[in-house]
Amino acid sequence: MKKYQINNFEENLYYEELNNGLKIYTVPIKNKKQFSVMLITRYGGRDINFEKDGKVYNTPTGIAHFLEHKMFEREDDPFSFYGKFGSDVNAATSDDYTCYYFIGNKGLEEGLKYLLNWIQSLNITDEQVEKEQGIILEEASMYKDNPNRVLYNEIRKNIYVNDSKKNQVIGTDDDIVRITKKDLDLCYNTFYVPSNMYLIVTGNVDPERIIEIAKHENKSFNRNNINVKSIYNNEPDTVACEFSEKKMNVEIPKVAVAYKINKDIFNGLNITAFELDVYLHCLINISLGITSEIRQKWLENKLFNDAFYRISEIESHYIIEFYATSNKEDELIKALEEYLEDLQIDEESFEREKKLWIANEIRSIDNPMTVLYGILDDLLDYGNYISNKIEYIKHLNYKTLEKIKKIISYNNKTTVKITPKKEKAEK
Amino acid sequence: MKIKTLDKNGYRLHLIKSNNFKTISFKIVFWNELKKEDLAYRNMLVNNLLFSSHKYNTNRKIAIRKEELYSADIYGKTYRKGTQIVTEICLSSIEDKFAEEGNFRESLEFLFDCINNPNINNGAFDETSFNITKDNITNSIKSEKENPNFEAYQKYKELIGKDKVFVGSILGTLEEVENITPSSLYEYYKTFFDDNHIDIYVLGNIEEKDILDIDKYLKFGSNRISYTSTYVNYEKDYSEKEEDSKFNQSKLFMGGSIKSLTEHEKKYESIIYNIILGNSPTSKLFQNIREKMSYAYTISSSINRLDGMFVISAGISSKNYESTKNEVMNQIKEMKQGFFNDKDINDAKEVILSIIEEINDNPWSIIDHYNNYLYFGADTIENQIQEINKIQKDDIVNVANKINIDTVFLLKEDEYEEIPNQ
Repeated sequence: MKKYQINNFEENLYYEELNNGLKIYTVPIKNKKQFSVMLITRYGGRDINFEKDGKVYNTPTGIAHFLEHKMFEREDDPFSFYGKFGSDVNAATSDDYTCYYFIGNKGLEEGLKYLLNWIQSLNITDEQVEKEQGIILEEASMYKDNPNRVLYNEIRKNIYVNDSKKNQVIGTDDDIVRITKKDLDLCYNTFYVPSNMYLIVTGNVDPERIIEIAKHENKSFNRNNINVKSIYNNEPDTVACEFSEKKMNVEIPKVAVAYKINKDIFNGLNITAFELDVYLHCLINISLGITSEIRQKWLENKLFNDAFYRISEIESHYIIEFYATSNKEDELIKALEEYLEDLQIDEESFEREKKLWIANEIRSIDNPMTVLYGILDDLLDYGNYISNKIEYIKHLNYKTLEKIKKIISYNNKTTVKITPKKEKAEK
Repeated sequence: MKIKTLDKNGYRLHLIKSNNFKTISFKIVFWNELKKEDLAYRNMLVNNLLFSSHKYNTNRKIAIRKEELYSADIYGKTYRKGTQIVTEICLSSIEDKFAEEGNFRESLEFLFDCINNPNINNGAFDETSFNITKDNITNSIKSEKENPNFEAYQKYKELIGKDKVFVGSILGTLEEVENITPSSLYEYYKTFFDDNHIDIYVLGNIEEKDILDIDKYLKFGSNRISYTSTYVNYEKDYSEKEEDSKFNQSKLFMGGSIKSLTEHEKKYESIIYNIILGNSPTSKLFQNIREKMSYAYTISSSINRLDGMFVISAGISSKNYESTKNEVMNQIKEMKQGFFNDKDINDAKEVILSIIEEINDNPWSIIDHYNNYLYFGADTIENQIQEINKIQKDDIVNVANKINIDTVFLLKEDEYEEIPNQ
């Protein structure tokens, strides 16, 4: 078991990799009653095309999410098991992973044993698969009424040409109804293997006991995927579609603009992926965030009401996305385009920005679930957990930020608008 | 953890000493009996006070100052609690030893400066900031209509009675917001503090002597100590209504009054009833309507003792409306007949006990619980645990027999437009 101090705090992260390849991360947090436990498999909505033992498989969209639903189909129902302890149990599927977790303050050891065994088998019938379709179609129907979600999905659809991230995690309605037990079994056996998984446990926990239990429950879990490879097709710098518009039940138009940036342009900088991430966020936050002059100006000119940005990535590209609710959406897009030519940044703001990152580190350690997600995000983004982020942040320098600003060009972009549906004709 | 309440001149100060967090949590609570015509003003006021100030006269300057203070987390919110309206102004500040010496004190001074010295020009709020916040609130009110759940729940509550205190947006109406001017808001500001009960909570690793001097920042204070009942009560005959919408999915709301429950039942037995019926993945509604019938992805029930209301909500296709409604009625009948077992009861108790036992894990939930204990009839954590453990099956069946569905509302999906598959 390896131990890493988290920043300059009294909390430590303990790490161990089991013989079967399962990686375990645990952070005890003093004075908490609550614990959070999560098992993650690196298999998500994006992994629909893969190669196994030399054969290529193309599976329907939405299958990882469908499988997550069906994992709950057990004789000793997970909800009923965790219900005994008043724990909250659930699961979620993203583009890159599927996770199963429970949160509570009683029955940690029993719950952990259950969780570790739960994901080691799948026993479902054709009828059970068919029954789930109705539930998932209702879930999909609910998402279609959420304008922010629709906007986000449109951006993905437009920005990616080949990458399967262009699809929604939940899948299309047509794909949801054609998923079979055979498909689910194949994906389960391919991706639910210990070397593709993480166990993260935080809060009111004893690391030694966690690892002891994990070892014991993993004795006969030796499935492997050495001959498996997800196929992420080469993604070009261009976008799939430069503009789209949707009509929805919205009162005020919503707009999003996203820029696709090839990661190769940053190669000469000699900085870690984590540092690059922080610099990119600083760049956008200083120049366009709540403390920027341009935002104040746009607010005063009523160019938008509500706005935010996010930065996402795939192996080869960063995507910088801007979202806004605006009655002057065209004027806003034009203003943004012009401003991107020369983003305004300054050293004083950069130093302040560092404080913000440090404050986030301090705040997050007070909450077991935030600590857990912090670890998971690191594992997905950087392949390992970065325990001394505050040190890194303190040493970032303004010159590098300026260089990054100069390197980026905002040529490959897509725009999505959501505008109000016309009034329905009276019946 | 040590709690101390001091009756100060014009407000009550509550000091909660805890070493369990790396932040200091500070909250001012202004509360009063809800008057609907007051809502728009309250929201506008809090939004303006925290948007810009005399010293930091644009939102940008406010944001910069917050970042300098290790991203001092300052926000205001207004919400309803039964018949009472509550406005909170909160500050979460990183403890000095993790940030730098004086961080909390400077954050506190910044917050009070915003409250005491607003952005006023010639007897009116600064027009630029005023217009931006007004626009934001106007758009928030409009956006509520974009949320099918919000829309359906509002219409459901209107069916109970349009005059009821729980009907309508907490932000006020569009007309009310439109009618506020920079000078009328300033007039409102001048009387706001006298008209409300004021409580101040401080929680964290901080000594009493280091906070007692906050008197000097308080330019306001009220002498209100009496308050009226916080409960909403209603009774109505059965009614059912359907309405068309432009959404993809239909939203079903059905529920009833809990007027005939005793105070104790509202706090304890009904909570267990609610979890068994529809507030957990093992509940009867979830198991039957979602898992067996596949009619819904979301179905759940909730109970609000201050609103005297019990309600079930589900997202369904309208073709399954009648069968969903009948199955809900059937499950409610089964509860009356005692068709649930000891495991259901024990699991429900564990869910509640878990929530109660974790109150002390989060600074804001400690403060909220103490506030509920002082003013909204909540018991101490220890008493709550005892009372939950005492509940027997008969008590739950008894409650089940006092709960009936009196209102059913369906917001129907748009049948006229097919959304193309993506």
